[in-house]
Amino acid sequence: MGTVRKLKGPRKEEQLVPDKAELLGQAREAMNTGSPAAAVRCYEEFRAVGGIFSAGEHVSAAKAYAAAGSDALALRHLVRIVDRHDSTYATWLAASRTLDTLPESAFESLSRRLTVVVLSTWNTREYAQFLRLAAARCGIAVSVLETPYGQYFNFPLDSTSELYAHEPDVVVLCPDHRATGVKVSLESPEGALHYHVQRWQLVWDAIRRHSGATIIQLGLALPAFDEFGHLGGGIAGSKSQMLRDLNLALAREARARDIGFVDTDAIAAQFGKAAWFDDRNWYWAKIALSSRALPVLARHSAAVLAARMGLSRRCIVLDLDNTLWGGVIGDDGLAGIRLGGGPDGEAYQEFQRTIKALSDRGVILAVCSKNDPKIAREPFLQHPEMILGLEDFAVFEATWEPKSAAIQRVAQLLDLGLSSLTFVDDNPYEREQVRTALPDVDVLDLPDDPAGFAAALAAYPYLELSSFTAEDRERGRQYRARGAARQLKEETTSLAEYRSQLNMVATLSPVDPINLDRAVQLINKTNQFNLTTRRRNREEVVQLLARDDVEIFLSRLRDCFADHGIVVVAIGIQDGTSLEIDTLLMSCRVIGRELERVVIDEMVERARRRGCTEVRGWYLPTERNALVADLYARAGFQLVDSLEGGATCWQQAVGRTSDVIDFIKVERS
Amino acid sequence: VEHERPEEAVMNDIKIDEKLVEIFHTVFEKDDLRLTASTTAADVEGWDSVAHITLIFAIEEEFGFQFSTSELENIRNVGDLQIVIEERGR
Repeated sequence: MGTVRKLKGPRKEEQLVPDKAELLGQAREAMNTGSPAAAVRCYEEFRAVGGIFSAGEHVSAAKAYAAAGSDALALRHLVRIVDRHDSTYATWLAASRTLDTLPESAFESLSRRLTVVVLSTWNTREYAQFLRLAAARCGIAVSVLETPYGQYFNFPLDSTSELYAHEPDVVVLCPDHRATGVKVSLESPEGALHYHVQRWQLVWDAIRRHSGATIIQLGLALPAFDEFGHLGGGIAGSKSQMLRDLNLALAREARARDIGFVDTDAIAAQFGKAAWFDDRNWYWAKIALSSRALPVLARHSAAVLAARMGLSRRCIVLDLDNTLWGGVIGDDGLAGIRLGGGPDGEAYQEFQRTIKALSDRGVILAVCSKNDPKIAREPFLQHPEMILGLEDFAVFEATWEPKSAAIQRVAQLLDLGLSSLTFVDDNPYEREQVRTALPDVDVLDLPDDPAGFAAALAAYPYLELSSFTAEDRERGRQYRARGAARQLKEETTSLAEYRSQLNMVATLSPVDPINLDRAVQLINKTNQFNLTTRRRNREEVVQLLARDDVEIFLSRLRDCFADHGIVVVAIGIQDGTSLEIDTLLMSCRVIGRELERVVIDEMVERARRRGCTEVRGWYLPTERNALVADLYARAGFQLVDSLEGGATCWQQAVGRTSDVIDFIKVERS
Repeated sequence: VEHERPEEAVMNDIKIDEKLVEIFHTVFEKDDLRLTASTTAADVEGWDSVAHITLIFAIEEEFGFQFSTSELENIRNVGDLQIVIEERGR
């Protein structure tokens, strides 16, 4: 009957051998007697001996670190509770309270700082607190400001309201179904729907008119019952159908208008609507949902916010044994691993299908397995039940090194930051090793039973897209092509030869309605090859397009392996007789092709046509863009200014010719 | 569920559950907060209507029951909370 599973780490019941429990007890005791430094030592030892923190212990550890003055580590423990299944309302509460006590310096490691205003039809005080914690988990330090609930329709329309006085970077719109005023409309369902959709869009239009804030619209959680009962779904104009149509229309319109949308109804359904809604809370506290549902809503809101800010994860790094199939290929062999037949074999297969579906919509896949590289590939080449093939992976790392080292190599090979990666492994000890060694890598906690793997990945919200463009669909293929291109680089002897064999074609084009989304996406997520890292939302880009002192263009790149899509955004702004390069960025997938030289030449040419005498450009250093510190120097620009903190200004006279880039053919569209 | 209101003298005999005290410590972030049955919102810094909601949510989760609307209306002090917890809590 039962097969013997080979486990790579001790089983769950061994996780809390007495000495570990003792360490936690000592830590508590140390805190009670006012010695946080001693408590911190206990927690570090607990981790060192392979202890796995529960949600509550993360909060206790955070308090100890905070009291001992290690604020950044305190924050790291606090944000762990956001994804934990054993986090309760009390855990979220204690973690939020502790977060509030941390000084500003604790948030230095987070990549964004945002002012978020919550506008709601219900009392969002608790939600707002939880949102702050959930956003910190996504790398965003937010100050959340609430407006009095019930001002949902008034404040946006009033340009003098406190909504705008806060100068928000983000407005989160939180309606609930009670505020829709939707009634049974059997006479004219379309007309009624149109009226309701317009009413909610009015709020978006007003916010867009009075501010440049990013808008996040929370959808409606729909009540499960209808006057017409089960027949309601089939009756045009029934309340349930009206609400469903309204929700769908909001989701569709939000996407069309570049507004973030949280599918509240889907997460409420997953949570269980009976547990999601709590009418007592509405009558008593004007809170639209149950206390237990508040953290769930905050967590998903933060994930959508992170996606809008370009902070989603882009690559899944997968373990193999007991993750993609049951058993250990090196020990059990092709015939021994469990995949396809049998209950857990089917579960592994479904997990592979879920991964494949993510890959099809643009998530990059990599393998990171402690294995012999040849044996690790066998299932992909020979097992008939495999869903994933070798061609689905951009990088295949099978070595005996620590996983953290292999993951770093995956990041280097793909030119991705560690904060773009999510590591997936069935073994909690490997997960903890990666978490400790590489805190920027996200780690998905898989359940013990493979039956739950597919659902755990499907419910993981940090691969969220902010928009979906043709580039997204192609991305996986492009990254795989890059792997192939790197091989060619190793095989050909000279760089010049390599470049000419690539047959590169750059296509320069203006920004149009079709490629606007992609341009905005690049502006908001490009970190490494980005001279100025100036972020702009869609509205701000549209405003630039209307100015006649602005040059803005994009570039695609294709080569003999792939069409890499739109990879460059360049913005120049005329300032007297010079054209200043406001933005010059390139997707990291085509770094090293010298495409930037084509782009700079184009900028110089545009300056000449404008009658400018020189082109100027700044390099503004960030933690991530050291790669381009000497870009202008390499392009033959002269240094004209440098500021404290490393910012440098470069200039080139129009008419001065640089080396011709003859290995990239330039086209225009 | 209505419960009888004990007199002040009886109130002071009510023993406050340790877990309830812990909840107060978390909500008001004061580990040295001392509670008696007659402690009211006026005696605790920060016990406003917002903190009250948080407090009730935390109690409900810890003790595994939900206050009815009428029970919520009749809470005057920590003793009242303790009485409902004893009646309804697990």
